[in-house]
Parts: sequence; structure tokens; C-alpha cells
Amino acid sequence: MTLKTQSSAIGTAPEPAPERGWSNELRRGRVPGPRLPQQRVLSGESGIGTVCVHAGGYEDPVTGAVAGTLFQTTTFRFSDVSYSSFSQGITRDVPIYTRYGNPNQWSVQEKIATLEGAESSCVFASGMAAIFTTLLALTNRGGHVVSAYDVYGGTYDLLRELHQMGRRVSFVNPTSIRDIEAAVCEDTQILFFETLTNPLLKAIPLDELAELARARKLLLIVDNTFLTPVFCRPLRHGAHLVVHSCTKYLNGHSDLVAGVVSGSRKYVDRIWQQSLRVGGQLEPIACYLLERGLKTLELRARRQAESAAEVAKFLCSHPHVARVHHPSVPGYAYSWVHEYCKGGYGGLLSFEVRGGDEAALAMTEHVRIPALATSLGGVESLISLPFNTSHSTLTVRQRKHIGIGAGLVRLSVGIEHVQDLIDDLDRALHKSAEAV
Amino acid sequence: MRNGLNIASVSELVHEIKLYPEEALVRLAAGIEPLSTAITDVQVKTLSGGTTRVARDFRFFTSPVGERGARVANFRDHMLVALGGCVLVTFVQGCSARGFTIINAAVEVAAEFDSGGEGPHLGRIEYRYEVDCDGPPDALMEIATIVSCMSPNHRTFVEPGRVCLQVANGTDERVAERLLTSVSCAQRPVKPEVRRVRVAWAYGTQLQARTESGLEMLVDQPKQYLGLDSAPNPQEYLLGAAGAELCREVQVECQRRKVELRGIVVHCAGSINLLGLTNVDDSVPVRVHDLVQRVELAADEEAEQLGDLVEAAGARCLLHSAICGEHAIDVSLLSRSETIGKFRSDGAALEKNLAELSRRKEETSATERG
Repeated sequence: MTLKTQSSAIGTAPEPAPERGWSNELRRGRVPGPRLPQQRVLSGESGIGTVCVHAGGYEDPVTGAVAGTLFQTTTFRFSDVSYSSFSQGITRDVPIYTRYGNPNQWSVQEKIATLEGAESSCVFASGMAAIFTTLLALTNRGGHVVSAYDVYGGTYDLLRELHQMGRRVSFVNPTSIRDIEAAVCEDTQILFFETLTNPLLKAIPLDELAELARARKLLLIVDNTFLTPVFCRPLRHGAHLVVHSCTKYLNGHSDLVAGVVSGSRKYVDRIWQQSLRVGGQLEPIACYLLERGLKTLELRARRQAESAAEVAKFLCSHPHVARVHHPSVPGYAYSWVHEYCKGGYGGLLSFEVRGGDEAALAMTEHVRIPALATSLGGVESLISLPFNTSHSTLTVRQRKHIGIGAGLVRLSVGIEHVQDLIDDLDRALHKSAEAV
Repeated sequence: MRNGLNIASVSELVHEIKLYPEEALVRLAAGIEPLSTAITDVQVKTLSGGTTRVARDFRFFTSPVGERGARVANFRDHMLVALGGCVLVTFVQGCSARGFTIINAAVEVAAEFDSGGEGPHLGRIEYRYEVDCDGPPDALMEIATIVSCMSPNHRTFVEPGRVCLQVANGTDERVAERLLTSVSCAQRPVKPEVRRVRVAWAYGTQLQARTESGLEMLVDQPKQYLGLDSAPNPQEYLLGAAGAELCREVQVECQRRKVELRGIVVHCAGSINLLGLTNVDDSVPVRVHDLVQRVELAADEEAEQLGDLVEAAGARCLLHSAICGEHAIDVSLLSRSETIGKFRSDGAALEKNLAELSRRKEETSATERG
């Protein structure tokens, strides 16, 4: 295990000067970060639990506080370093103003970047802010994006509106590399997909997508919210950037809204620059809370994945359940998920209750442990019906096209005792069957 | 940020291409179609920058025959914009690398053409820099000299190059290919005409060009190359002008040969290599490389016959003459309205200046190693 503190906060400045003959004599290359000298920097060899606890942590040089420090400030006193950063163009690396950067943002960004195996991360006030800013920053007017027709409803709504900003989007079957490739045209710049789709948990052919992106000079951006870096690190499989709704598993306590994008500093810097124009930065206190939540990510994610697999197994044999969607169930159609997803498949599953939406609604009224609420990834189990929540903006025809059948229930498995959850679901399913 | 250019990003790009040379190759293209006998439509195509793509949603119109006072600029004006825009943005970058703050900077480009002759004629070309900047005069002169080595469009005009013509008949899959390595240039113009374009620096890589007849156009770089993404870049103007001229000449040649032409599309492509123009690798020539004019015709003739036709048309193009031939360019530099220096940029001067740059680079490396 390597725990070390970085020696310098600021990447080498380019140092333009009269004696520089030409641009080849400028000094700065891209550096990971931004980082403060007081932040803990861990190597990629560290175990994931160690990264969750220690990476990016701010070690207060005055008090030695173990739990980190909250920098609840909008602005920082100017110094020669900050003045210089303006003329040198390195304001992302220097504390100036919280919209530009804040030590709490840098701490949590460093932790997530290390988890993802990225050079840099940029946190946002929501997952949607992260996705919007990323797409806007990395495409040009006239650019084209290929994505899935069953991405998260909020993302779908955003992608449908991108034409207003001069970008086009094609929606395809995310599990068919042939369909995806056929949608690529001269102006395509980005492939945007989710590792597991919502709510049917179809897996994308990640390695083939990365190969397609490389061959056609496209950027592959992957939303890895459902799998988390505990089970899948898309950058290792050739994705250029990975985004998360941190609201879900990364924070895991259903008490803040946040998003993040991670990748090489080349791209994340551009996204950061775009964020300065569109806003959406994450508040220091939310960063502090997110960093705290991340410390237990591995424990939570593994527990949730194990429980979800057990619940899925139970539901597969339940007489009132027609179908279960989870990568752990026998006959799961997208076997390539096992190539890039190790140790679990996340805590989300969906299943179709016999008797359609009416029976499903009745079932949700009878569960006692999962809260009937939208969102996922928290320590508490949540249950919802896509047709009247996450996918309510879709027409019946669109839902059918995606495969959202009648009676579909989405269950985010929390960290409760799994047998309690199973007993609760069993009872609710029987009761709903009686009622309908 | 100084001069609207993020010098850290310039520096990072330079270091990136040192590590990953494949990121240095930028392939550009334009699609050209005649809208009428007087106006040609140029659509800038998605460029490939290293391992990613940059969408380019720009369109400009150029007139192959445009007279002064026309509402659409002539392709010769676009050629001058391409030259002036390239040297000026390179100059701004040179000043920024040295930490000089620019108040104003502009380049006036003038060239002599022949508006009455049969063959192409490109006479004297000159630039006049007008700079208001806190850099000392000798440093500004040095930058202007280095610009003549590092501007790809400048070098494309000064040093001899070649153009590949690919000709396809819409109904035939075969493609005829011809390589233009020299285009004879009429020595004496029948009706000499000097055209001028003024290109003024606005912000960062964004420039505002104005023709003598008052037509204005923006020149800029993609945001991936630190621009505002507001307009075509100088190479795209060059490709558009070259494609538009060839498009026109092919139409004329078809009339001459009584070939019924039902349609024509020209796709003009080229590339630049940032390794050369950032002086990271002085073995990589600075110019617009791999110039290909792909002409797709709808006609009854076979591809080979059409290849001969397009070759004849291509040999009458001014831009081809400029690209294939050698030209001297006279450069003068005014700082705060006073002339601070002049030089002639030609093959011999380039050789000398490049040798000096190499020597200096070696010296800097030795100092850093030591």
C-alpha cells in the first residue's frame, strides 16, 4: 500500500517569457488533479477500500483533524500565486473562487478519480449537470451523438433537446454493436451509453464500443451509476470518460444530489471550462458529505449487490412474478457483462408482477421495508414503478419499444437484512395477488 | 489569460503531441457545390484532430467570377484571408508564448492576379503587419520571421507542393487519379489586378477579415484548438477556395469540350501536422499536406476521360499554381505606425531561418540537459 502526499499543489506553469523562442519551449504538461499539497494521493495499486477511505483526503496541517475540513467559503484571498494563475491560464489549480474550485471539491474529485483510475474528475450539482456540461463541452455545433433509446429518462429528455444547441442525437439499441455502428456518421463525435440500462439492466457491449470509438475517432462516454467503480471501471476498458449520478451509490445515503465526470485531464479540463459558463458546481458542504459517503462505498456496494442477487434469485421462482431483470439471473441475455463487471452487478433489479400495472401498484402498497420513492443506491431499499415515475415521460409505445412491460417494478436493494426484504416482498406479492 | 489565449492550454497541447505524436495530425476538408454560375457553396466538413473528431458546422459562399462590389467574396479573397489569417494567428500565438500583451494586431495581405488572362497568374504577394504590442521591436521582428517558418499556409505558398486530383463519375465506381506537381503560370498578366484583404485580430484565435469591397468574414479555430469555434479556420478557407476554383474550371472545361455535365461536387481535403508548426519536431515539414481534390461528376464519359478533363481544368487553377509553385512573399512590420523591419520570405530565406531555429532548439535542449 502506498500512501503519499503530493509535493506540489500547482502543475508547472507554462511560463511564457521573452526568451521562449516558440511554443515548444513552454513548460507545462497536463498534470493530474487539481490537488492541494495537503491532500492524500494514492497510487492505483491501492485496494478499493483504502482508496474509498483515504484518497483525496485533506490533512489539516494546523489541527491534524482526521475527518477532514469543511471549506464553506465562496472566495479565497488573492496572492501572487492566484494573480499568476490568471495570466498563466491555470486557474483550475489554484483556490480563487468556489465556482472555479474549492478544496472540498478537490478532495472528493481526487477520491473519485482514483476510484475510476482517472487523471481528473469534476463534480457537479447533479448527474444531469455533469452529463449536460460534458456533452456540451465535448461536441461542437453540428456534432452528432449516438446514444440509447432506453437511457435514463432525464438523460433521454436532455438528448432530445440537444438539437436546440445545434447537436443531433441518434437513439439506438444499446446492446447491438451493429446498430450502434450503423448510426455513426461523418459528424458523430460521441457515443454515450449506460453500463446497465434503466430499468431493464441491459448491458452494453463495452469492449466493442471502446474498439468502435477508437477505430472511428469517437469519444466513448459511459454512465456507470448503476455498477459503480467497485464492480466496473469503464476507463480500463477504453472509455474516455465516465459519469455518475453521485446521488445514488457513490454517496449512498439519499441525502444529497450530485454528479461527476472522470477521465483524462485533457477532457475534464474542457468540461470544467464549460462548467464555468453554465454553472452547476457542487457546494462545499455537499462535497464534504459526498466524500464522507464514499468512505463506505465498497462495503455498501458489495452488500447491496449480494442482496440484490439473492432477491433476484428468490423472485425468479415466485409464482406471482413473470420475469426478473438482473445480470445474476439464469438466462440473462447480455453475457458480455461478465467481461467487464467483476464481483457483483449492483443493487438494482426490476421484475414484472403478474397481473400488470394494477397488481404492481397493489404490491408496492403492501411492502413495508422498501420506501415507495424514486431514486436508487441509498442504504435504504426503494421501490417504484417506471411507468408512472422514471419513465412517465415516455409514451406507451416508447415504453413497449424499450421493453418495459406491464407490471414492471424497479427495486433498489439497500443494506437491510436480505431475508427481511425477501419476506416483505413475498408477503406483498401474495397480498397484491389476492387484492387484484 | 493574455490576448484571449490560454497559454497553459497551448503548452499542454505541445506537451501532449510530444508524448503522443498521433494527436498532432489534423485532417481538414470542405465540400464544394455550385449553386449557380456565379456562386459556389462551401461546406466545411468535420475535421479529424488526432484521435478525435471535431464537427465543423460552417458554410461560406465564394464566387469564382465575382467582381468587385459583389455580395459574395471572390475565391481570390478567400485565398488571401487564408494566408493573412494563418500568419496572424501564428503571430498572436508567438507573442503570447513570449508573454507580450497585444493591444491591436492586423495583417494586410495583397497579391497581384490577372483578371483577363487565360492561364493562372500570381504575381507579387506581400503582407504588412500592423502591431501595437508591449514586445520590443526586435522581438516582434523575430516572431514575424519565425511565423514565416511556422505558418502552414505561408509555407504552402512559398515552397513547392503537389495536388492529387481524384475524379469519379457518379455512375462508375472507378476513380481516375492525376497528380499535379507543377502548373505553368502566366508570366505577364493581360489585365493585372491587385486585391487586398485586411485581417484584424479580435480575441485569442478569432480574427475579423475585410475585403476591399467591404465584405467581412470571421476566421477562428475550433474550441479543441483553443478558439471560440465561431468560423472556419485559415486552412478551411484555403481548401474551400481551391475547391471552388476547380469546380468552376471543370465546368468551363466541360463547356469547352462539349461534355454534358449534369452535376458536380468537389471534396477538397488536406492536413496539417502540429509537430512541425509548434517546432516540436523540425523534421516534419510545415505546410498543408496531402492535398486531394476529389471531383465527382455526373456525366456520360468514363472516369479516365473525365480525369483528363479535370487535369486540364486543374492546370488552369490559380490556387494549384500557388500550391505547386514557389513564391516569394514580402513582409513588412509596423509597430505603432512605424516600420520596424522588412524581409523577403522565399525558399532560401526559409532554409536559413529553419537552420537557425534548429540550432537554437538544440542549444536550448543542451542547456536543459546540462
